[in-house]
Amino acid sequence: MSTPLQHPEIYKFNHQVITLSWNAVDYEKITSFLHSVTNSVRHKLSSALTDIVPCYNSITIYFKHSYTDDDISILKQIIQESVVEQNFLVSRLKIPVCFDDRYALDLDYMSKFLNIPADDIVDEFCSRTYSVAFLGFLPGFPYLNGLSHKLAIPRKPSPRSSILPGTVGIAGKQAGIYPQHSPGGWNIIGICPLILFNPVQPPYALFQPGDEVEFFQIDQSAFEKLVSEHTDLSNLRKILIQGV
Amino acid sequence: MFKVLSPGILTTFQDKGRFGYRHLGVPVCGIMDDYSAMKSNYLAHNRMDSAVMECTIKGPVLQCISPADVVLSGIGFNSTINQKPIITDKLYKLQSGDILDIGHSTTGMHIYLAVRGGFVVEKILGSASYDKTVAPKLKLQKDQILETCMPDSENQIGIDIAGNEINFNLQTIEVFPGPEFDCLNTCDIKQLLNNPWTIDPSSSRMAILVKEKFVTDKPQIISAAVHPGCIQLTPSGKLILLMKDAQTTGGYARIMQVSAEGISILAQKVPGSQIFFDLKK
Repeated sequence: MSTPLQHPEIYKFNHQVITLSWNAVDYEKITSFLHSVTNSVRHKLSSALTDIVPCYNSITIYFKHSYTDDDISILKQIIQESVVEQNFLVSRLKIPVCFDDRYALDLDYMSKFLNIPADDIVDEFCSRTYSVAFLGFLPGFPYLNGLSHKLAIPRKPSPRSSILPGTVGIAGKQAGIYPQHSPGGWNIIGICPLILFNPVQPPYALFQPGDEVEFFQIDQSAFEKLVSEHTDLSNLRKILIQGV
Repeated sequence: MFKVLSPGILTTFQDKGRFGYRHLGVPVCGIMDDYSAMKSNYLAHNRMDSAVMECTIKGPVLQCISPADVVLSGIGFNSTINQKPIITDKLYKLQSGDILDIGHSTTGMHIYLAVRGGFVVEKILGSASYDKTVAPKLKLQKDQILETCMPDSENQIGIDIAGNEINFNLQTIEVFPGPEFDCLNTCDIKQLLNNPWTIDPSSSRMAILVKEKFVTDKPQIISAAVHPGCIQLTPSGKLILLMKDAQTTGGYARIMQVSAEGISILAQKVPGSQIFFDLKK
């Protein structure tokens, strides 16, 4: 039985931390509702919170001090309002990815596993609109909903010990991009030349929860040029939203 | 002001943590043993949110360049000033040229150095806590010069923590049910509470790990937010006690959680020592 949107499970970790969960739902279908609630909570309770972290089907709210009954009432009200109308303004980013052999380390493997030619995998990957369900795992790492079911492939049995920053990966129904060097078990399909996280430049992360993302293919020399450009993160986000 | 003659094993600046950016995947980080660190700040007449130097297993050797008042708080380090042994929880007045050797510990993991007036540390995303991606410069390097602030003319006394003594020798860690506690049956709970768990050497600031496996077959959950103190159970039976550098989200069942006091105690447990869980409702 799916949790109705109006009545999430309210789990109280302790006197400062609450998680709202919508269980057994198709989480891809509730993405814009979740981000609308998150956004509204952030605005209406901003002085009372330290953090608010959306995930696939939950929102965890970290209060500065003990939350009150009034705070819970405000949460419930926001949820009701978001069921009726979602007021979250979505930014859509167009992101360049290089799928050349030297970067697309698992594309051949994926092609054999899925029984789809590599070029078709790339086309299918770039034909979809994804949404950033949440960021986690590493600073700036986006978990993307919307991967074509034709491309669903389990994560690798043994992770690689080090993945290049910008690596685009697929595991299960998820797609993601590694912002920094890290071990990784996802199947590597290509590489993105852009900076995904910079702790000294607002908005700090290129991807924000709730963004919509589309990928387009670039060649090796375009990739190298973009890597060397080191565009400022706030300008970069503007450019990508305009699709320039 | 100090010069770092030798940086120690993992010597970093830490404060209460980095808040407001978890939704971007930025971990909280911050002091592992809050109790000891706050004590050092309190005794050094600092604000409670003042950054401290967190030393791990083997601490740094520092040369004092200009006079400074210091306090060390933590477990079992054989610290010296000019090779003369010193004790924790006492304010020492260092003179120019004094050598402060934090030493090493076999009975605890961390000791905290607070300097009266505070260290001059660059805050990144609102915090002076080290993170290898977000704030990589906040780890001590050899020959580094550490500046300190002049103490305020008024004594800034922080919250009196004397009323909250912690017994670090306690083997029993208080735990509370987590969101996925109900996935455990009676046998699971008995297994959890009746057996000792041995701290594994692979433990880190991200998580305390235990040697023993839990016999189970728990499904993963859809990724949800986690925070320091959450205890995860993986499908293969691994228990993961998340600590301050933990990732902000995770897909494992969050079966229990540790209190803030429990985190301080866990932070000081050396590999090979054993703990028991005491479940509170």
